[in-house]
Amino acid sequence: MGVKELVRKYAVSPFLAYIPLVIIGLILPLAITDDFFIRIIVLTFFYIMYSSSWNLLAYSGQASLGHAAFLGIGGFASTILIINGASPVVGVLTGALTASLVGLFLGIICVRLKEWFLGLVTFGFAIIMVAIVNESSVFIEALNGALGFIGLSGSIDPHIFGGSLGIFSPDLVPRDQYYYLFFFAMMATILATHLIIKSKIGFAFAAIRENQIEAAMMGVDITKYKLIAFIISTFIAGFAGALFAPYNYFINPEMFSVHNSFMPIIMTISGGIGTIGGPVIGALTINLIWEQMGLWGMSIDRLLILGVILVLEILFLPKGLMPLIKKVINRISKVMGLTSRDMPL
Amino acid sequence: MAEITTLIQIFIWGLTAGCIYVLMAVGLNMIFGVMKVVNFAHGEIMMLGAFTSFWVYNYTGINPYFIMFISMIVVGIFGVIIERYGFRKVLGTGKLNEIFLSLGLIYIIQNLSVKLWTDDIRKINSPFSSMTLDLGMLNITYDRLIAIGFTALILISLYLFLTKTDVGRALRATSQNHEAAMLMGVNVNHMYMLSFGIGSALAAAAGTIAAILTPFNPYMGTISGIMAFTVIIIGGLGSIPGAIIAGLMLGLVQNFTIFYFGGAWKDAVAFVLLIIVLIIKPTGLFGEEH
Amino acid sequence: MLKFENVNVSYGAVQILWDVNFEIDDGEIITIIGPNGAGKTTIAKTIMGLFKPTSGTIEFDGKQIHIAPTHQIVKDGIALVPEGRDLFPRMTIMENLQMGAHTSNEKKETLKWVFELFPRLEERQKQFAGTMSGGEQQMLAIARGLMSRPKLLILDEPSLGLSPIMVNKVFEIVKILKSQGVTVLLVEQNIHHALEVSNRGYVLETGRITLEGASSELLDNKHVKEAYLGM
Repeated sequence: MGVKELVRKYAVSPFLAYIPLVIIGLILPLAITDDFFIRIIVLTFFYIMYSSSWNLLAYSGQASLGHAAFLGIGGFASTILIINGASPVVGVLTGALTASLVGLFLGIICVRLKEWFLGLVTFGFAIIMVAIVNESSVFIEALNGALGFIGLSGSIDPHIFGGSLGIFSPDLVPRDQYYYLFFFAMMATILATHLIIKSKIGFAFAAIRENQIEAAMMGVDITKYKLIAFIISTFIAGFAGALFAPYNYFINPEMFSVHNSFMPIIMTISGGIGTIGGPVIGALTINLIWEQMGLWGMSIDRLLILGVILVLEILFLPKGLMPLIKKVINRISKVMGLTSRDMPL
Repeated sequence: MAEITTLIQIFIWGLTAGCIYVLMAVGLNMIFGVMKVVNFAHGEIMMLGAFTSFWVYNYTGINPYFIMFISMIVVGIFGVIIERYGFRKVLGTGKLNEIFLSLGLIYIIQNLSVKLWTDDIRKINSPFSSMTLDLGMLNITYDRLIAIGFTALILISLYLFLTKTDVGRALRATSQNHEAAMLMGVNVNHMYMLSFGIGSALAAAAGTIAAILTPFNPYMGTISGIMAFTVIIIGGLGSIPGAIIAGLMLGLVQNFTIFYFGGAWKDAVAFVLLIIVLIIKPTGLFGEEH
Repeated sequence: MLKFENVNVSYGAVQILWDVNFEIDDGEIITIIGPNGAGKTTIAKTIMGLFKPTSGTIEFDGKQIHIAPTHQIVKDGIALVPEGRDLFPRMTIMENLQMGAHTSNEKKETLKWVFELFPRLEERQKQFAGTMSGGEQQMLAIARGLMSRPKLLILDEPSLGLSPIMVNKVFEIVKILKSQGVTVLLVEQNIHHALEVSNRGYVLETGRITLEGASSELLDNKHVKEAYLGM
């Protein structure tokens, strides 16, 4: 193939769009010194991971309204283990696995039911997780454990990841360690999402989402794939929660809040539900708006505005921003004569 | 084992809590039955009913039990608006969109209420709040008896409406066979608005009673909405008798749980019941197989 | 009375009716016959406004009804007895009939008339529609359709799934309606009975009208005899 054909074939490939972003992402902490700004970027990475996990579940037609439950389970499980002496890697992985197991359990209950049952069950589950954590002596003892805290917060020394993982230079400030930790975790999530959606599994997910009955008739094992979606999605959510806990300096039942369940939903829908880039765009946009409104002092108003955004989106822009972005990119590449076909993304 | 009078006391509390659930659940069944729409924001509508009654009572001092009917009308109209400009638009685009829409509505209604009225805790003190029925060692507040009475009154009126009037019959027909109802000349769009209006009005009644019996704030709706759905699933989707029995049962179970195990487990026990029903018989006590 | 002109109907990407034309005059019994899946039910539903044509017009008593909503079409005087009966299962016979009369102001008189035609329904009026047998349900469905005193009654495959005795009963009712001056559009797979009881007929094959004429002539038609009457 000649160079021209190669350029034509790959010039509008989504991967090429990611490369400049990845490069920027890698050098950003070295360039920026404003801690607050870095924190916002790290939060965005976190939300991209978390929203992608929700998106994956939604891709299979299952909408969780209580994803914060898995976030929190991952966070609490890993925190308890690490406080009581486990290594961070074990802690985080076990946290994610615990979230995944609970997710599997809920998934099994809801797999044969209509989709809104899942929404109800997950919503309720997140709410009662607060009660469970508050009341279970198990939690109280485990969290109070080695560090002797009173009450329901647990806290991990944020330095643990850099030190024991050994992959970061000791010169790297913990702030930057977390940046790269989340950056790579996010990239891994996006890559995983991409691989899953483009694979046979992803095809099964989409078939189930579009029309379960027809998918079953085509020979797709509905139960198996729905549960796979659950396991993967809740694992990633638990993983994100486990990483987030030490970064945030503490963890408490706030992790299970309705707000934490709401965020991945509005982010994914804004970006474009069911697309790979959707959660990314959505997390970026919504988090930016959210933080900016926080800076303007609108603590109640910004909740209200998020609600308005979601309602307007459902009514007028249910596919999110992705289709618009695709249109723009297609336009540009056509104008530039690079390609005559439309990019799938 | 506690004293018998304490148990009867808890039974009455359970019954009144159950009445609130019943009103919520019957309203939800009406909406779900006719439109097949999932509105998770039903709890917020209840909250609006509570606040409407509260403010009207604050400014006029009229007996809150009469204000309840005003609240039902006002909130009923609000329900119609949400249906007409919200849910009707997403009808047919998939359940997920309905769920997301109701989530957005929860955020809007709840936070708008906090913004307008602050999250202070309030209560409607009815003129009967200090009056109790004295049965020897047993004291039952009048408010609770009135709550049970009004619930019964509303349910009976609803029953008569649905069975004896043309419009009521058209509503039932629409919920049983949508297309056939259209062929009878029923304007189903009107039925949608009506079902949302009635469902919301019932929620407003539930909210008013709750506001009279317990302190409340703008966040009261979140749990109530979920409880309402839990009740209709346990009772069986679309079944009004199921909603009544399940609602009363849940109120009783919850109150006995609070007494024996403490308040924190109130919601957990409802959730456990829900899971049990979903595992054993997802169509609920009186549900129909599809 | 009814003019169905150059109507095309699609269901999603699939076109079902292709340039269909037919007419119904006052007092006639018209039948549309044809094999399974030809689009007969689609015609019935399109008249009622449940499907909207992609092109073509439907005129009823001078009004353009292809753009009207279903409930308006019913008010204008057309009633459909749907394929498969489509009753209200958790309502009693009486309530089903009352629903049929939803748009009517003459409920009492119409009820009398209907009970004369279907005495069994009067006996059992408190029974739930869902507990009735197929044949009884069909009677109820037809009765319900009559309750709105329609100018045009459409019967969609009324003999489907019924025993031979019940099938005869159904067509007897159609004959009685004919004698009482009710205009009927009969959509049927049971070609023989349908052509016997009707004035004129149209043959619908894969969404197109392929034959039309007086029913007596169609009964003698070679194609009809070979394809549908097994001769």
